[in-house]
Amino acid sequence: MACKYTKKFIVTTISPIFFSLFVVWHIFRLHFMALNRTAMDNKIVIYSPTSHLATLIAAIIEDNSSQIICCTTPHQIITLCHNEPPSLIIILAIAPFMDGSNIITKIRSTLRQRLPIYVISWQQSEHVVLSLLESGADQYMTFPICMSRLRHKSIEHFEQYHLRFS
Amino acid sequence: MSIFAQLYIITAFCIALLFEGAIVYSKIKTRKHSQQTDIQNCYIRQIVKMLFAEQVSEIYPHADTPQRRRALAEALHTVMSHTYGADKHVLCELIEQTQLDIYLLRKIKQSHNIERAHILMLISAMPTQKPICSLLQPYLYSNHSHIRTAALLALLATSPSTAIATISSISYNLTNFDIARIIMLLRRGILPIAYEPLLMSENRNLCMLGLAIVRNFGIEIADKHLQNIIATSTDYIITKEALYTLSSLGRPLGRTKIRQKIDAMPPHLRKELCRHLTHEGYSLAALRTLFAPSEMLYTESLIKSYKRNLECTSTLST
Repeated sequence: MACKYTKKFIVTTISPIFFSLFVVWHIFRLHFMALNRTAMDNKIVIYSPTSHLATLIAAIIEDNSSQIICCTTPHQIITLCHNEPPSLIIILAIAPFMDGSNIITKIRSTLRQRLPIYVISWQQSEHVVLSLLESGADQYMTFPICMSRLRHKSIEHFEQYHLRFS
Repeated sequence: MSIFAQLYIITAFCIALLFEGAIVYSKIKTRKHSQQTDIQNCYIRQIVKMLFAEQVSEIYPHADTPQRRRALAEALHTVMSHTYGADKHVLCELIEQTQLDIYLLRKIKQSHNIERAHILMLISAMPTQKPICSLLQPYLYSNHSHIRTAALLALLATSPSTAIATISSISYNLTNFDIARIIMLLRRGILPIAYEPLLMSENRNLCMLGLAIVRNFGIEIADKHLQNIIATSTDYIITKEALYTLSSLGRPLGRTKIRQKIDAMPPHLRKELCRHLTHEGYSLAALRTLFAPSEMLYTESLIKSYKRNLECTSTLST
């Protein structure tokens, strides 16, 4: 008889409480995870051999929620992407005859994840753009760039990124 | 102690001192350079912020020393030469506030050669409301080619409305490098120049600039102008440039007068053109109408070669 009442008590009172606690905990967990992702995932890596240009691009696209890291060597980018994959990589290919495709190929071959890569360069010939897109670049832009357009593009990218993962 | 031993010790001491001095000097120089870089980066961030906010705020650290003014000018040049569509009024106010134009104009007179050319380049990226054209004009006829180019760019940037008059007043021929620099100004939206009057101009520099505009911006509707230039021009360099521009647009080269011009070219230039057309993606059938079978052997081997295959894969697979 006692066992029957205990069983009934568990089914009617304790189980719903535990269930509701579990649901609430799960909602909170998901919410905090999403918050954390927003803070962490707005990580941008900029590769540029010159610091001034990297600073300029960083100043254009940065906002309060983003973390921007500037690299000066391809090795730095790959190490960084291995440790903490960023949500966007921007390559500034400004040296003559170096269109950035070798760096993109390296990144694509060493990393499992397919991180979005933007390339900004002075070169505008068709074969350079095609070879870059073939080696794995997602976007190609040429200098001189419109500051507001680049900022909107990066904001749009992050919005899409968060929509996809939220 | 003998005199030789004393001399030996003194010499060794002097050499050690010299090396130490060199190390200290290089360290000081590196430190100064990194400080200058940091200040420049700081100014770049502030300029971008001002441009987004569309209002001038006081810059920090204040540009009150020559080094800082120089860093500010370099920062302005970095921002202006890599972006377009920036609000010029904000930058004009900033320049007024820091007296940067006066500082740079004074520096031009004090400097020489490459340094002078560099300062002129900095001026070309600086929007100013002061009439500085007359001050820049003498440098347009300098013996130093870099100074000439930099002065031309500065003049074009400061008074874009007189660009065609300025270019046509130049007595020397502009090099491809000079034209590429002018195209950079065009891409920044500074020079409002139409290509048609340039192509029809008899001035060689203006015509070359017009061809460069057509080639850079891929203006396909200009092909009739190009064909006319090839058919009528007596200047060999302009004809060659027009031919290369037409082929870069991927237009047909089958017109009789164009064929005659190609036939009249020396063998080494025909070979160069044949190679260029192959790279531009012209078919073997199209090239057979322009070149003799003996010249085509080279093209065929180029197309079959591993080098050409590499280029083909990048274009064909997309």
